[in-house]
Amino acid sequence: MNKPFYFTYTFAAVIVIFISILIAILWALGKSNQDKDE
Amino acid sequence: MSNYFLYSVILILYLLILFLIGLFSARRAKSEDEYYLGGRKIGSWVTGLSYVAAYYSSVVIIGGGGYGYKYGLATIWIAAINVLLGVVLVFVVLGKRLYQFTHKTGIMTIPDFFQVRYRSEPAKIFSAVVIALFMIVYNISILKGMANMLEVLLNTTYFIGLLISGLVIIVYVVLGGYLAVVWTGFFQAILMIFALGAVFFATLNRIGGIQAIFDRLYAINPNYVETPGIWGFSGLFTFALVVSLGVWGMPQLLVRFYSVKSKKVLKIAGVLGALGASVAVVPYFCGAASRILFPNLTNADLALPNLVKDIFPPLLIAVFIAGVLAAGMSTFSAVLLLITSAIVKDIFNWQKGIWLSRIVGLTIGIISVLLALKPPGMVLTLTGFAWAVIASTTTIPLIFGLYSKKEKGKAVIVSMVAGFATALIWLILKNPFGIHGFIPGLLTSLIVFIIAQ
Repeated sequence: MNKPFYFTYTFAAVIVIFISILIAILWALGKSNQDKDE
Repeated sequence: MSNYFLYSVILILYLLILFLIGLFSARRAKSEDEYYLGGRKIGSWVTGLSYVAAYYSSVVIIGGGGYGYKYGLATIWIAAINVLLGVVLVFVVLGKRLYQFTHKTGIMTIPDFFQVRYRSEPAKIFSAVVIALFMIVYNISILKGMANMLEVLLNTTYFIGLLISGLVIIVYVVLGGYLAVVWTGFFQAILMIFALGAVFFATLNRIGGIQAIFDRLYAINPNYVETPGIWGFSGLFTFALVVSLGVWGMPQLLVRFYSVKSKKVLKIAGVLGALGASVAVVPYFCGAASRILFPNLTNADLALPNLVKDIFPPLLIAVFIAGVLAAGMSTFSAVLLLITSAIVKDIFNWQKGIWLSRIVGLTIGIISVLLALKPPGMVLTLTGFAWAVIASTTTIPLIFGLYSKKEKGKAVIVSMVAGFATALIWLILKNPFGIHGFIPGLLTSLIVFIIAQ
């Protein structure tokens, strides 16, 4: 490989951030049974 | 007009805004619940972003730039793991349960949690004493960091740097309590995000885009681009884990979870916190990129300040200085209020209203500044890891307390003392085997907790 491309393993880290934010959004949207009880 | 004059004007303006927030908050803090928890009515934006502000101190910005410079783009993983483990999972795993428990019982502090959950007075007192003592040390390290930075950036003395960074915080925390802490935290987080966002785009512009940064770093050394790169897998990921898991037991951050208006607000705050915390990518990325412009720096911590001086006009440099200062100040203020609550509410349980809390806060603040003036040798040794000692003491009992139904009254104090002692001894021995003391501290606390049941 002579030329590094955009997506190296390093930028997988940025994907981890997006996944984290996604987890947070899903958690925020999720409704547990406990919530409905209250 | 000299640049230093411009910097001073921006700084004074910034400090004035903080002071005004303190004044407005003071008018709304009348009861202890309002002084320490903002009346449990904080909204999602303020909670989410002030969490980030209290989490990231100036170390993340200046030190993060240094790590990026030294170890290359792989350090972006540290930011990613911060967001995942240090923000999102803390909200998901601890946030809701802590909110429910505190609303059922009405407790105000984390040591209080240990007493009510485990029916253990010693656990409350022990954790509160550890928090109070080691948080003062932590505070001294934050103050010292800010003063050192101002010394260089404003071309002033350490003493003046210390006064600028310390005194205003003490005034607004003492006056406004928690409301002042979170509202200034909110304002400071926005400033931080704006400053770092500007650094990111200006760096791209200066070097010629992401591809150019990749290519030129790769030409210097392919390891600056690849993961795990120069630092190596174990070094990089242990560091990232330590700085992310450390926050799980930090009372000044956990308090955000039970001062919110409702459970729904807490969830939105989690999303906003995750978005805000993502900004930590910038110092690592730009620190790495600055190697292209300054290949021969002897002190890696000067990477970001040098970069900023190169890419920004004076006005934006001033905003950047305020942003770095904001990162430190918001952490210091959250910690100062925490120490006050540990002393007033947990250790002595004084029921004399918020004026006494203000006097104690003022005293602790002044002691911190005086100690930071010329830190005693022992304090200096402790500053790097004061937070690790606290996290080793509180994290395991907190997680078990929220998820297990068993009582374990005695196990909690044994586990706390074991975690505390292991972390402290390990760190004083200067990290044998190159392992950070937080890891053995946390593991010992966990093992002892399970055995002692």
